[in-house]
Amino acid sequence: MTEVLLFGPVQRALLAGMIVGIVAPLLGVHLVVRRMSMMSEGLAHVTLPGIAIGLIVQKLLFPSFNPVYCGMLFALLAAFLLERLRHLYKHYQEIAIPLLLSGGIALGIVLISKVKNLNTIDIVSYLFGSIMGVSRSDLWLAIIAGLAVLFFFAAFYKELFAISFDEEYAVLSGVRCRLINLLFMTVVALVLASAISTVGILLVSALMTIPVATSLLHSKSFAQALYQAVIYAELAILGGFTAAYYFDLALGGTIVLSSTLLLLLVYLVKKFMLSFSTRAR
Amino acid sequence: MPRESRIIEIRNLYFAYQKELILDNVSFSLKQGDFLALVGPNGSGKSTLLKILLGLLKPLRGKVLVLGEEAKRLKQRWRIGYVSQQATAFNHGFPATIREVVTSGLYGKLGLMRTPRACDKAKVDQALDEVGLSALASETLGQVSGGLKQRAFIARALVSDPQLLILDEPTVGIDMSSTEKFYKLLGRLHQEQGLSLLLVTHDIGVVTTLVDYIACLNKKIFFHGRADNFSDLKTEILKATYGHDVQIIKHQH
Repeated sequence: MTEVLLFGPVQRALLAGMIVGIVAPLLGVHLVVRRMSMMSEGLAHVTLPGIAIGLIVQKLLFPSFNPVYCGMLFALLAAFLLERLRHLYKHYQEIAIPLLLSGGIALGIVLISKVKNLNTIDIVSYLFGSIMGVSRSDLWLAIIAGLAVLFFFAAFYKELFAISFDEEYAVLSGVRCRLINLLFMTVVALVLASAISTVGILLVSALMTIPVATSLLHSKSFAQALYQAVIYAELAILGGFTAAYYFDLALGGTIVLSSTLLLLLVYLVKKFMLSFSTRAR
Repeated sequence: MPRESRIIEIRNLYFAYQKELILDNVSFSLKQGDFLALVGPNGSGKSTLLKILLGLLKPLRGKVLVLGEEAKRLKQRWRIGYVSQQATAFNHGFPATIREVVTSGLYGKLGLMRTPRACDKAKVDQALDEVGLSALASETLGQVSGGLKQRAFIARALVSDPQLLILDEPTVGIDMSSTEKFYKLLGRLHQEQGLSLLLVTHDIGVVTTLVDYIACLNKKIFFHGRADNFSDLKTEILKATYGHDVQIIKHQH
């Protein structure tokens, strides 16, 4: 495992991306089928003030401090707040998203504007992702987040399915929904924060939704939806990474664009197959 | 009646939303192996009563015992199977096979960190077989008819071996022929397996032929007794419960 420390920035970004490509869609499938995909958007945006505070700490106190840790802390706090807001506004659960999203960005902007001489290149790379922006500690963070999600999935797969399919029935049949929901939002926050260096704050939630949207076009079972979403995410990351590397483009943008192109391609293939099978009949 | 044979026991139950009284001194019971239909007009408190039985709401006053325990404190929740009006409310785009959905009925009983074993898989097969869905187990639930979906939800409720099956207007949104088959299935589960059932329905034509006992609720209980007694007096009872004459549609059972 220690060989990763010897990796250059390009290899680190690729490995971090590949790890996020496995875990983000696994969580994304649950978010999408529960119609909570915008929640990841809200949590991602709350990392901005955390990153801003992290950059200030890095600039003024500890030059080796990784601002993503602060972003992760904010995402975790926001995940707990989100669960509270969902219970507070039981009939308007989606209201939690604009509250977090706009509040997060507002606080981030205020913090960034207050500190003079903050490195704007850093801020831009956190917003849009960058091949060169993945540090060693970012890679470790991705590895830890990846392992945490895989453990969470192995341990609670059946509860996650029951809640995603029918939360009311899950409660009635004795599934510990509040505990699982809290753990779920925690790992979502962990993965979002760990993916920021590669994909960027503004696009990170796309990794949780677009590959899932692609897999939902043709998956017949939940297990199928999960593994196909992972395959589509990995393909998008490889494609986006190659484009970013060879054409010197923003990594987050190329990954999300590859994912969108893949969605379009799968849709067209499905449409073609359908019309072909109709004609054959 | 010995207490242990009572699956549901409701005594002097009162419930109110803010100041509006929804349930007014409601009392009735359901014995082991009985099939009870709860009928009443919209807004009569049927859904509230179900929520109290399922432990989702706390009574204002009175006693509600389910399987010998206070409804709100029932630990082994899987001992109650519940089928809602889900055939219409269910997210049709959800990518899950019938088998996956039926298996999820076991998850509460299994508890955290335990995966289904071979004996659990055999239970799923048995539940699928009971509702006649074995051949369709690999189909996506969202792509089968409303009647088949509702059968899948019954199988999900049966897979944990419940002692009581509660059904909340399960045939809403289902076509007539599927509804007939659905009621036949309920009758079979009751007769062959001795399962205790509580069916909330508007379908009065069914209750007279299918169930053992009937309770008519409109905030108060207007009738609670054997179905054959109900048949003799149904015009008067229904008029008292609904506040007007009720037209009954007969089914072919």
